[in-house]
Amino acid sequence: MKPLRSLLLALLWLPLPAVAQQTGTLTLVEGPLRLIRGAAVLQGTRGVRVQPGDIIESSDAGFVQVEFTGGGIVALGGTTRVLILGRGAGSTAELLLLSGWLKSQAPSSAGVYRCDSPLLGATIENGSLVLHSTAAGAEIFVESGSAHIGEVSSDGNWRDPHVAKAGQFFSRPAAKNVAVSARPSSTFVDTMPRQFRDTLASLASRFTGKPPQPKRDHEVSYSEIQPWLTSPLTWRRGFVRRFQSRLQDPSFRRPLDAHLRDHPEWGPILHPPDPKTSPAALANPDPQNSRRNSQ
Amino acid sequence: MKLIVKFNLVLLLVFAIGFLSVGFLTNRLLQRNAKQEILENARIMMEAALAVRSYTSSQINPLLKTQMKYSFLPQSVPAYSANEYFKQLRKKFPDYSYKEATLNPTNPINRASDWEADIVNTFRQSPGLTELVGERSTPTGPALYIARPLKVKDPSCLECHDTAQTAPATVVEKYGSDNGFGWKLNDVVTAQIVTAPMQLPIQRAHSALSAFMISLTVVFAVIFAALNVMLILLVTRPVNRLAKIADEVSLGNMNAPDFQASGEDEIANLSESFGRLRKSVVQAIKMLET
Repeated sequence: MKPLRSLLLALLWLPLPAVAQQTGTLTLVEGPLRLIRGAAVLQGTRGVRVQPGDIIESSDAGFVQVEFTGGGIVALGGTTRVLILGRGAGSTAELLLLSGWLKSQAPSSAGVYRCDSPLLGATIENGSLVLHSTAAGAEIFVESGSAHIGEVSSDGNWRDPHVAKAGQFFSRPAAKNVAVSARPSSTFVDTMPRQFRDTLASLASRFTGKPPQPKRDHEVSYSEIQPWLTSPLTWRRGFVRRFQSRLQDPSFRRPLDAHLRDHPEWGPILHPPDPKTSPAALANPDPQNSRRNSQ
Repeated sequence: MKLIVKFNLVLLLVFAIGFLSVGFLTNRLLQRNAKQEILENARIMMEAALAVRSYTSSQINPLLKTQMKYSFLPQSVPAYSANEYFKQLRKKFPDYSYKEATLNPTNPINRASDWEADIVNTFRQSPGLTELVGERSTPTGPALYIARPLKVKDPSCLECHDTAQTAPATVVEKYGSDNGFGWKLNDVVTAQIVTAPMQLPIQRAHSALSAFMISLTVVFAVIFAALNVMLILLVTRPVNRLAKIADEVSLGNMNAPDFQASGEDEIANLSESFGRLRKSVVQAIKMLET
């Protein structure tokens, strides 16, 4: 029985079939692209499949197009950080835009796309929108179709969702309420990546063969992942488990510890409570120790 | 009056009459042709402008549809592309001008002036009328124009020209909500007008006429000179020599040289006859003396 049991256990540990994990394909990559998968930094290139949990970071003048199963297309402008959460319940594709520019184009077949930034979030179905996020504020322009726009609270949850029509523009400076206008601001239009002005064209048909494997570059450093570790609370669920393996590296552990106040969830991992002085230990002292001490 | 003078006077008179009548008729013909040529060029230009309009609305406009949601792009407007095309054309043909005169345009630059509005209204009142050609006086002189009606045939035109509420927001943002709306399908809203100064056909006719008249004059001068030389060499000079010999013979100089004429023309026949007459006269005198 023992070999059979071992085999079954081994099968459980095998990765899921690749197709099941794949969410989309990088169909256009201009400039260097950093792909953080697990705790490793990979080099993203055209044709590489992206998976739920992948973090995509474009370069200064970069442009990236990701095409998802179902026909949805997402474009990223320069200096953009996005976390792909994949499809949640009710076939909603979720993307978290930490900073930069994102254009989401969802045809009717693509289902609902939810794009959140630290200040504003949007869901769109059968339409397209552009989301811009900086530390100073967030802006959303509903290019076509209708969308729901919500203010994102500091913990990452939505509040006061609005129904938005095509052509409407939402802006929310940091620590202020959302403002709606009939036209996008000239600054928004002027600074938006030029490629966003056009309808995103699908290139997925060019990537039907075996996808290239992204080249592993290095293990993620603290400075690379810090913006994500300090992102809204609900966004960073699972990060402790995901990046825990990096604690063995002092160059990761030291700055993480130094900024513990920004991400306190790492406290119990970095400084596990002493079993002797923990409240549980004090309340329930080890009988063996007591006996030893009494002897 | 000498024969050559008479001959030349008649020749000059004929030439003067011919020169004037040919000049007059040719001038009229050349002016008519130049005008027709200008109108034909204008028609080709208008057809090309229509082709550019059609290309813009069928191919460029769909490509710019998304961009138009961010900012107004005149490149998506057929009238703009037609005007831009003509602007390039004018670099080589500066005398021609083009306008899409519109009664209620979005861009005020296309608004029809008084005389252009009359043309648009004429087309609106006469649906069968496909072209108007006319002349009008302008501060720079008389001008020739050709106009054609532009109908709203494509329903996609109404995306921007039906109401301000349904028009792209960027169009309203750029030009306001007062102008360029309320167009109806199949209405004549615009007249394509190509104008060229009348000076242009006149100049062309004049330059062609002067070239023709100069050629005609040169040809006449050559003919005139050739005829004079021929007349002197073949008629005047032999007749003078013959007259001189006849004079000498009549004065009793029987040793005067014979008149030698070669060939078989009239002068040769005359000299032969004169020789025979002289011989007869000499023989008659000799017979009288004996």
